[in-house]
Amino acid sequence: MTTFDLLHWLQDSAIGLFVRKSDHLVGAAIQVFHIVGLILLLTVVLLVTLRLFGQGLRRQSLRDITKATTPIFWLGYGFTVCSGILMFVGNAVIYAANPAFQYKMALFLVASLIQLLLFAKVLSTEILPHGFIKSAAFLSFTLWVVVGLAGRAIGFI
Amino acid sequence: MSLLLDFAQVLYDSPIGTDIRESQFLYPLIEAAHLLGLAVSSGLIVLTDLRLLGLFMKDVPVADILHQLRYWVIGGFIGTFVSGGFLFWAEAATIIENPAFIVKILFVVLGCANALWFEFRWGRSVTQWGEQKALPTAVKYAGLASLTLWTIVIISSRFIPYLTQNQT
Repeated sequence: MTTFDLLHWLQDSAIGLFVRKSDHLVGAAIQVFHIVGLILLLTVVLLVTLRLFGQGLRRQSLRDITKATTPIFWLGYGFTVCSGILMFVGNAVIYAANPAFQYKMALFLVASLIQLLLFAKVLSTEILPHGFIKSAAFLSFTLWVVVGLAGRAIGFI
Repeated sequence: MSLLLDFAQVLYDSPIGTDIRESQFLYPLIEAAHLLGLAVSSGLIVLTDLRLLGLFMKDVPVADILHQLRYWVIGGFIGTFVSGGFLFWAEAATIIENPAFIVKILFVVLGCANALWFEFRWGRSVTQWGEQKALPTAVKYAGLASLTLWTIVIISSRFIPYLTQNQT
């Protein structure tokens, strides 16, 4: 089974057919979840990054902020991933061939890894040098923005 | 009403409107700025609303959240409004008759009205009530209203391209 076969199998599966054949308002509803998820996720990364740079909620500790925002981050992440999978399965062949989509997925994986490795564990325990964490947070915020941009570009290419 | 339509048509046909609409990069980039502004403004407002509802950073006084996030929320809103203004400029003639857009603008106005009411009625005196364990009921309703109104704004925005009639 080649990748191409797999993509065809995906988009002709029951879920793929449901997404593709449904009314276009169903597609719009899926996109609403995708965008709301992205907004939640970006806001959390922004709030943590601002705090690291001594802005925003600077009277609260980094630990308190990450503790309060981590569930919101994963909620937003869950929204984007679930809605994203639905959109992808509906038109797998077209998406997989789209260069913007390929860049987006690569950047998404890097951003997710940074989130898992740095934010989930290290940030809350503050073992790493502050400068390193600051640059990582800034990089992470930029990456998520670029992931959003690349996502927007999918429809224009 | 026809004055408004004429005005929208003038914007649509203007050099700036046409440039944005026909540029391969400008339109998506302004859209991206719109989304980024949204993450800053609406995103931080959602967190503030959740605080008012007692669902986020409960141990932090409300005044702390309101004051420290104020300039970021306002800055994000300015970014969203300006980028949204340019998007409207490019699409004015078609978008002005789009039902999703009309609903969106209506709820933007309601959202702003709610925010202003909250600011003048409660925001100014936040130090007097913001550290109580149970917040005033009206404050919770304002938070819930804000959360609902801005969610409807985002939902109706996403429906705009799906309800667009092509310009004839």
